[in-house]
Amino acid sequence: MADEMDNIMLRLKSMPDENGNSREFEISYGAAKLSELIKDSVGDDFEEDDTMPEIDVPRVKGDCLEKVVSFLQHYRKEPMKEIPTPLGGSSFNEVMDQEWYQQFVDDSNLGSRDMLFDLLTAANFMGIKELLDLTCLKVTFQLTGKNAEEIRQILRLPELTPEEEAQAREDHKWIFEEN
Amino acid sequence: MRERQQYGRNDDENNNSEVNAKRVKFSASPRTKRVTLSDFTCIQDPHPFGVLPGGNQFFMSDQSAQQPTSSKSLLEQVLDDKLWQTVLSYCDAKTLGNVVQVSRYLYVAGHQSELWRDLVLRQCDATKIAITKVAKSWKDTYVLLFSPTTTTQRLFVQSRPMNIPGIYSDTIYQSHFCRSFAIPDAWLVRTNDQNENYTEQQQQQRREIPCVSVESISPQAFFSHYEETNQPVVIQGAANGKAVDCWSNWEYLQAHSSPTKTFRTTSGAAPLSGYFTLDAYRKYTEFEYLEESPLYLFDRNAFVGNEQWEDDFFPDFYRQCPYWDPSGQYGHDLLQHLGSRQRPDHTWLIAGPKRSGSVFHIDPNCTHAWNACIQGRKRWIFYPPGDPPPGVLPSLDGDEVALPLSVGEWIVQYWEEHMEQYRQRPVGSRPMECTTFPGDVIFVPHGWWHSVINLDDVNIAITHNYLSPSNLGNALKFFVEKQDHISGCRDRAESIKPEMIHDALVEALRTKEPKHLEKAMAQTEWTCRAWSSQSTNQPDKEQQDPTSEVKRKTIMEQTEPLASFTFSFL
Repeated sequence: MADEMDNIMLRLKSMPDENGNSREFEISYGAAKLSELIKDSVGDDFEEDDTMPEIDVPRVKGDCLEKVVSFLQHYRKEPMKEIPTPLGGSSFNEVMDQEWYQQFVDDSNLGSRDMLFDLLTAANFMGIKELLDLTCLKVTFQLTGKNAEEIRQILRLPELTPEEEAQAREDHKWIFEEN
Repeated sequence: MRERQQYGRNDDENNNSEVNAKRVKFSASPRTKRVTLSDFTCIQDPHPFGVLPGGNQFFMSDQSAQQPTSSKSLLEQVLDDKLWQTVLSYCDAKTLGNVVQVSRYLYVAGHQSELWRDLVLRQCDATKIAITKVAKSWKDTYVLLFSPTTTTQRLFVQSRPMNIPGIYSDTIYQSHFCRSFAIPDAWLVRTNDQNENYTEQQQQQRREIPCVSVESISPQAFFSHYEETNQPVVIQGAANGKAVDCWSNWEYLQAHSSPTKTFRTTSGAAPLSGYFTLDAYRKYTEFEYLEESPLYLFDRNAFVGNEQWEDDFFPDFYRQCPYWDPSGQYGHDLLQHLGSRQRPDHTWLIAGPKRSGSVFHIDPNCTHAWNACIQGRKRWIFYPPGDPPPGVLPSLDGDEVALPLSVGEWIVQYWEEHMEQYRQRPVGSRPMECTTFPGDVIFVPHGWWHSVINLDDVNIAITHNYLSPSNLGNALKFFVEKQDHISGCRDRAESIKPEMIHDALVEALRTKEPKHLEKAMAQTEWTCRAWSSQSTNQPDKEQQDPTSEVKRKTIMEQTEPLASFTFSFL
């Protein structure tokens, strides 16, 4: 749906890396306004002059912002379907059947689990509900089928004390039976 | 077991009842004390898992040297409470059961009652089973219902909540407050006196819904003072009879009902209805689950096929209140002429635990309602037609309403603003409140916003929605202009569908009640602001006032879990 908002370009600037360098990305307003942060920063009416508005996105690293931008741009062309509750599927691909989005959060595209969490926090910070839901969904399915110890490793979390852990395991024996 | 004498007037508070008898109305006893937000916040029970509000982490010294001040890891802090709620709400039961063993924060976050309630309700819906047994928490109930029986018996251990020190979370704590707020003393005693002695002006200024005794009000008085003027009233003693005497214990109700019959329950926050047997529902209320919006029983079929329950209530009631007797001479309950199965849903049994209830709504299909208190007390808060309460934001055409999902949430966010309304609003658009006691029947006129909160451990009521000559005109208009809002007839095969109701009703009344029909059809405009203020596309005064615009924005920012909510009368 091309309208004038697709012709107005913005420049997004990421958080500087350890060498002090930021990365910059150009994106149309039409795509960027999915982010509440950007929408609020720009406001409803802005002057169209020669200079391209530049928006700092302080808490998001360069390569993460690159992925966010590609999500926003693709969404403009192919909106993501809303994730229903109940999920209606027992695997990620069953719930999210749009291929581009499946591939977007796949390990091969993200490179590492850290990137998934970075994307999640970026979506939260930038106020992009759709990206947030997508990344939360991915996190959920990464935890599905794992036991507590494995989940702990995935999330790199501190443990319960031995006594707490013992009691928690005692209470949850029912998980280990097969349906 | 409740003794009815507990509910009497609070005269024992006054040392010398004779001397103080005349002064009782003006003393600062609980009867006249204004209820403030602090009356709700003095909750006694701590969070079962030891959660404290977020600010506390700055004041707590370490419990022991090796514990961090907050026991959330860096990663957990980056993913805030709301994000975790989203992730956890997507998890299935096994995953969630594993997640709670992972870390201290996840143990607490993953044990939130609502997560497991939703898992139970969804699994029941998917497998088409009713809830026939419950355990002491939603999580345990899930295991009881859905684990294979042999293994369950071997492995099932009722969970024992662990108190995990060091969890500070406003989100989780606020939820705890919303489900365990204290019930103000002022709500538990009678405060609205019988109103014969008040002048009309005094009546208008009152904060209490007027109360009359059933003996003192004739049908003519009821129609002229309340039904035709569209004013609420509590009629004391109108529901007295066998039901009030006998339904104080579940055993009686169960003895006179089929043990396999299931009843529909719902709440503002539940994603779908749950169906319980009576025995299971009783246990559910007795276990006193800690949740923000407890499921309350709200079933339109409760009396179907149950003559005993019907006889316990209706004959006495109709005799005491002839103005509400459908077969009587006063032409009430006009929708009955459509046929008892063809008409929209009309009579419900309601039961619920303490703090269950409904947030603000207007009853469906332009109907009046009477609500008979059988057991337990209820607190009612009313706002006049066309003047939505604080926190309730209807869209201009009334199609959607945004409002908090639970009573506790509304109290936390809006109680103080509600108190302001008594001062700020002009007379005539002010709110009113009262408490109803067993034996009372409250008249809820059409178009009034109202919210109800159950105050005792067991609360049972019967309610009925109807049309009478006083609101028939508005209803006929509603059936034409607001067809999308018609409810109570969409999910039953035999009920007349929304687009046909107007004509069917006109047809039926042509022979049965031609005079009332003629008068109603002559009416062209709405006579109730609940709908007349919706029809125009012009923003009303409130929205044009710049200061109230600002107020609305602040409300929107403050209220996180706002959701569009259509009150589910089905």
